[in-house]
Amino acid sequence: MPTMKLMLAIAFLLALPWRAMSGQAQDLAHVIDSLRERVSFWDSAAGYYDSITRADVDTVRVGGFAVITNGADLAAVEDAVNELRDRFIPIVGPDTILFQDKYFAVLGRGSHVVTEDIILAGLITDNITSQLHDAAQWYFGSETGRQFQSWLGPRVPITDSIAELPGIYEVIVLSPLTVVQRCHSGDIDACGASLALGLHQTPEEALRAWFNAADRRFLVGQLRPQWDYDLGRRADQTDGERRCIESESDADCVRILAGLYRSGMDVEAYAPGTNFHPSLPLDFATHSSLAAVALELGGDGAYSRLITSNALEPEARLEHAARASIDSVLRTWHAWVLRAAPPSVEVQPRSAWVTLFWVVVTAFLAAGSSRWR
Amino acid sequence: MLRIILYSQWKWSRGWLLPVAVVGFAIPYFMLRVGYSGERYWDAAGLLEQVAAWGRGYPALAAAIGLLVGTSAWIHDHRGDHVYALVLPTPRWYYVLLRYTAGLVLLAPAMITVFLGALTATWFTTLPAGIYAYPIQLAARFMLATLLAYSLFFAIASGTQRAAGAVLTIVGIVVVTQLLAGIAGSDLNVLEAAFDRITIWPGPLEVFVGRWMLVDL
Repeated sequence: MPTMKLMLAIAFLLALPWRAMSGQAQDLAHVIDSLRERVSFWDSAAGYYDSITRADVDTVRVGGFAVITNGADLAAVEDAVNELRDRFIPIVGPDTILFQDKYFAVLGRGSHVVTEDIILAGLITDNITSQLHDAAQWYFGSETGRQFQSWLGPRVPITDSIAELPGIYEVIVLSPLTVVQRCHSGDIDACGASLALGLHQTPEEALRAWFNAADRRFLVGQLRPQWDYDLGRRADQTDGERRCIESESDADCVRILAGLYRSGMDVEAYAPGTNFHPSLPLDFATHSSLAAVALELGGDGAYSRLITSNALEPEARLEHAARASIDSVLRTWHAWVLRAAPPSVEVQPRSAWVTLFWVVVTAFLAAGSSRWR
Repeated sequence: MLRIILYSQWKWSRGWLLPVAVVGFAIPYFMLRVGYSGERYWDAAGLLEQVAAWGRGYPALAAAIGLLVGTSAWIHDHRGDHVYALVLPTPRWYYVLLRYTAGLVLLAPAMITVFLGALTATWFTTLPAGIYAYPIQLAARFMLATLLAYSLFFAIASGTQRAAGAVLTIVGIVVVTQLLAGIAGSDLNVLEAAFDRITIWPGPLEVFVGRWMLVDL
């Protein structure tokens, strides 16, 4: 029997590293799967690219733009490119070299694939302008550099991003976060914090600068909105989340939000259908609106300056593009956002008077009718 | 005399006035209950979209009530070849005024139920931060729109067939012109221009195209 116990002990000891190795193997399997997915993605992209060279394609050239197309109406593509250039020129300048040799391949349906010098954009024959516009935003977004793009989100704004300000107004007014409410009230420093500006060494430092403890608790509380009625608590809530919300442990709140910040922008998991991210006070569309205001202020060449700036911090890039201080850019943005407020729900007095006027007119017309005469 | 006319118009229209009043009371309830399912703040934007979508029901309801009350005021006169009106010792304008006033009284229940529905629905709903209820403003817009629709349809229904024909001819000319312009490949948009002319200040129907929001920023 002692021999048996000894053998069991040896087997147990041998199993420990095997178990550890099994865990490592699982991690490696995940990595391999992930790499396989990437290879498959790029294989597909390369196949798509190759098909361009093999297919019977036409190239439409307008200025620095070149659009490869295999079926779309060439005149329509040319019009679309001209329109796109017209949108860019006011901010980039007519002599820009940014568009040199940038190819837009318009071929069949599919998601955007940005490679070194080409954008493969899905074909929408009835709205080529919108498609190219969309593709250009993605393309130039990728040119701004990883750090700036992590602040800006995937798209670089083009001038008509200003048209999205009413939506931004709605986001700001509806936000329950203290910092955003202060921004709405006109605190420009709070606007800077709301837009995730400012130099911060770590996500923890940034999260402490942007939010107060109550806001951080609120954000963590929003992570898993499903309620488990059987257990009488929120579904899948972790111990850390419970400590943050129920015990008001701020350290846990910061740790959770910083983890989310570091893990990337897995937006859809937390707020389906929006580009809200729990670690940022405002969404990427709002950041993009600030960049759009900076481009408007900067005028000619603003786009080039935004893209070619070597500055790492978003505020420095925006200052460079706008040729104005970040405070000035933020003040203008704040004023424009407030100006974009939707019209009042109330009936305007003039509208009421016009209605009453027509009521009286129609009543007189009815009284004067010759129906029985 | 007003009482008799009011009673007769009530008898002709009570079959659908009551259901319409119930609908007017219920819209705000569904508007808020369907649109708002929690307190997550990204729900607030969805709530506003739902309220805007349901809000389109109000101008439609106002137009429907105006049409029903306005035309039903005259339908029995037309059927009886206006004999009843002709035997009354009153001038026509006075008779029209009585019919018009009776119709106005019948509009009141629908207006009141819309106001009460809006008031109670918002009273029992906890709105997210930044969103406010506007039951009085909504009821005021509904009242004006209903009044205008009623007056328009009342005037058209009280007129001769020639007058109704003239209105239809104008509408027909606009539609046909638009069709011809489309066939000829012209960018002319008569329908849109006509619609803008009557719905944008100082157009008579401006009140119909405003913001029908029970809750808003």
